[in-house]
Amino acid sequence: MSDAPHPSRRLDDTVHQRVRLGILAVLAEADRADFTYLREQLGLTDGNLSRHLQVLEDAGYLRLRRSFEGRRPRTWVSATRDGRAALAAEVAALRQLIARLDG
Amino acid sequence: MRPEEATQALREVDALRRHTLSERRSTWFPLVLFGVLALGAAVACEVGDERTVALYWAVAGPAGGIATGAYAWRRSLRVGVASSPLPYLVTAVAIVVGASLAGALSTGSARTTAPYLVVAVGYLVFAWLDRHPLAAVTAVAVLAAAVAVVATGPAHGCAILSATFGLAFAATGLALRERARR
Repeated sequence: MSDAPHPSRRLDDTVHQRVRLGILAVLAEADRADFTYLREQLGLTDGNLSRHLQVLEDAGYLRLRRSFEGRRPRTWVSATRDGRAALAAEVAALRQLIARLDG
Repeated sequence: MRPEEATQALREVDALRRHTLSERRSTWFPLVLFGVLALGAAVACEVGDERTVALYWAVAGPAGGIATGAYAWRRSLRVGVASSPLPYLVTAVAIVVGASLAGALSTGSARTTAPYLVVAVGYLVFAWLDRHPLAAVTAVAVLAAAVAVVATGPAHGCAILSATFGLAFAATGLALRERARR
């Protein structure tokens, strides 16, 4: 029997949640995305998205930057280096889990 | 966690990444713009000398770069997703410097054709940054054309190469635009 920890133990609770995984997936392919874009891509309400962004920001996985375009406020979101690394680790753990369960 | 849940999570991650990538890139615009500019260069090759071609690109190159940057910036505000401009800017500057050096250090007809080698390699880098296979295939095809023309030095090599780049870039750009609209 292998001494390696089960891949499910490498899943990060902060990232593993479906919406937060989706937020980091979007930001993995972009330098930044705005709040409205994320809300529409993930099919969320403003309040729900805000809560998940707050969790990821508190974990140091996201940076939020608020700006104005004319009089219209706009929030841009970008992943930090830690956020990108956390997504990569999560995807690797999921792949290992599938391989282990399939094997 | 069940395997089907893990598989579903990975599928969702892949789908979101693919969709975001397609939304953030605007590969078609510079291809069409520089395709048209290269067709203009083919005319410059035939009506003028190598200085005419150098002057043409000294004006058209930076103007095309600024127009591309402005388009990408406006598009990112409209769509709500943006890529970092830095890698694109560095590549554009490298193309300008490299193409200028290639022209200055070459002799004979290669003075007007050698810069296209640098441009083709630069476009390969752009295709890699956008992770766009079709743009990469076009870049490799025009690189092969540039190698052939520089190696053989045919008459009207400058016009042949400019027209080849122009048609290949414009056709690829229009095809990408059509695909993005569907």
